[in-house]
Amino acid sequence: MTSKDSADRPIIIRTLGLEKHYGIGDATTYALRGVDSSIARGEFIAVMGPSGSGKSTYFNMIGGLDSATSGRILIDEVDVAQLSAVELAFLRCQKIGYIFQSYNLIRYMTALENVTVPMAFAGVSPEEARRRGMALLALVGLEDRWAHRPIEMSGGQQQRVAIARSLCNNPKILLADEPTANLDLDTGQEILRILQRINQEREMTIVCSTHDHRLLKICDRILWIRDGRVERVASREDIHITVGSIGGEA
Amino acid sequence: MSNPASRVLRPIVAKDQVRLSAGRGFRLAMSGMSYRMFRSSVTIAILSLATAFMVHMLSYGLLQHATERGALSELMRQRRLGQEITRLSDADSDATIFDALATGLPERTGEYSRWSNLGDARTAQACAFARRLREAARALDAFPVAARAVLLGDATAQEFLLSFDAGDLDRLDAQLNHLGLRAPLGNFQELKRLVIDGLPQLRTFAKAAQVGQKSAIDELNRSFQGESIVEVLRQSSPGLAERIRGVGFELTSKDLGDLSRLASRTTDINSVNHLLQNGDVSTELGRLFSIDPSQVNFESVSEYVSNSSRARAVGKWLAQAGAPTEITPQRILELATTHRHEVKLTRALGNLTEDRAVGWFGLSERNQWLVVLSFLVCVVGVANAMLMSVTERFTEIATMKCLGAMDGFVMLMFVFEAMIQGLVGGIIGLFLGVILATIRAGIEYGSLLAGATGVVLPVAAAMLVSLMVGVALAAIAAVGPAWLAARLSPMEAMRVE
Repeated sequence: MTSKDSADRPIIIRTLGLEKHYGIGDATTYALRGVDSSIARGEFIAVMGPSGSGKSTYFNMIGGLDSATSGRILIDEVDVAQLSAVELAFLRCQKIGYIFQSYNLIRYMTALENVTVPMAFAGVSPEEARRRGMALLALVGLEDRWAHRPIEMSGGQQQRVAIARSLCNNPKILLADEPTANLDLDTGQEILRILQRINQEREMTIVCSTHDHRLLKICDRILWIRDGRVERVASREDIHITVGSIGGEA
Repeated sequence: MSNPASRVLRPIVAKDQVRLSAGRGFRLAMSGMSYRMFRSSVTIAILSLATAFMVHMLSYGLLQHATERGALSELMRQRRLGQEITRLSDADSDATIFDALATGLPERTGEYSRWSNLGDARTAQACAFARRLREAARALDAFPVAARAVLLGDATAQEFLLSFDAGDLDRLDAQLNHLGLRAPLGNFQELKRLVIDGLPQLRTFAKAAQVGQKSAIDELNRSFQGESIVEVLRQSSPGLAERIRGVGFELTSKDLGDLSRLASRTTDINSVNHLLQNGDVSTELGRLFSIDPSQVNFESVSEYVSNSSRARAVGKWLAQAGAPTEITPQRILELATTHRHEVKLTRALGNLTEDRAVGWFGLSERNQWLVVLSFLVCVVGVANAMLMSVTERFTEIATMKCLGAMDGFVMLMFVFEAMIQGLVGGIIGLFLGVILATIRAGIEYGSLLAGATGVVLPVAAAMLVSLMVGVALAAIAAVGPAWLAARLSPMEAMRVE
């Protein structure tokens, strides 16, 4: 924990002995075999690891999207496993913003409608939702495309709409699952810049799984996951020394 | 890392999570459907076919039933008119009188009361006995075939009871006991009372009524001055109605008009039939319509006289054989058309007896099964369409849930969508089904369909029922898949892709 001041900040996401198995008996596959991690408020964390390492599973667990086989997940000091369906919906709606690899915009809605959906679930009035939605679209530079459907936008634009949507209820945590994987280098760079800006300006906790090494330059800490375990945790300062070898790896 | 177990966990304030209104779900369902227009229209098509089938079966059954009922009442009326002519020339039989009394037809009861001259009280008593007699006869008819053969022999139940007298009672009692059957009318004492008190009174009443009717007919005949009743009716001279009513018959002016038409038809058909027996005429007409000359008569020729040119051809030959002036080609066409209509009526009635419409909406048992079975097939079809619609949207559902949608809201959205589709498909199906049923009934019954009165309301009811069933069907078929989708945790739903 050598990051600038993470030790001083409150922990917002904590996992203890987190395990996830799929299937039963001999066919059981172990996605996670006991993950202990803690993420402080306002941190920008990159989660890295090869395909099949359990990275995505870890991600879904801390997002409250999937239930753990054993172990605990504490989000903002609350045990996710003990939440009712209503409380889980509240958690997903108000506390966590999600950004997916495949954007997951709703196809039949315009950009603005997509951004305002979570606000409707949060009980924001339609006028207020519209106003805030337009402001968020302006933040990601898409205010003039509010009336376009996802199919009429490029991948980068869709991902920017998704980022605007994830921010609309002012969540404490932003979970981004390989947000740049489907995008070209320049567009990916733009998405990362937006994420960095959000992290700095809004002091939002961002957890971002990625294969994109450019992310290492902007994140606070890196969490390596391999074979369902945390292999290594390092702060950005430590990485700078070894960046050559990582670059060679890529 | 501090030990979290030592901390007091802060509860989440869950009451802030709003439940979205049904209106919002409805709007979302609508915009979703308009985006997936093609898939929606396939679902709507399936639903409309299901509804159309049901409406078609129901309303066709109703139309069939009403048409046949209309045909039946028309035929019954014609038969009654035929009987009426007989009644004007000969006294009614015992059986006819008993039947009329038991049914309690007011005009007949009035006539008999007047002719018998026994007073209203005796007439009412006779009616009561006649009803008991019919009841007893029905009870006898309901006995097993073997028992009926032993008790009645070849006679019908009514004949058996009418020929009954007090001396036969003991024998009947013994037979009933031997066969282990309950006596008609509940117990044997009742039957005994009917036979000892009722039958003689009924016979007396019938005798008196017949005597009165006979003298009324005689009086009528005297005023006709030797002309036959058919001839008198055909000419329908003024004051005839008053004369007939004057001797005690209850005959409305409309009935008399119909009787007059029937009489002139009978006369004309008789004279046509007579002319057709002429050798030259039968040969020529036989050649014209490809009928064997020996088969040429009014019935066979009527089948071919369907337009005025054919009627003129027949008229020409009949005129050469010396037809009276009233047998014009136009009259021939009229007679033939009426005859064909009667044949059609009889045929429609044939259907009624062999495929008697019972149960709901006039459906025969076979059709009830057909409706139920086809609806099962449709349920599966609609459920499949809904399942497709839900599974291809798992990602959307998962996304919605990530954004804070509650399970109930997701379900509501799908059930709404299904109900809208059910409603639209149902309405299309309704009209499709009714139009098909009307066309089908029109082909089968032709002009007789016009006699299907009072069918609009039941058909409207059938339409309403089918629409409700269609909407409910769609909603029920959607609930399963939607529940499945809503219950999945978001990530599981996304993995299904």
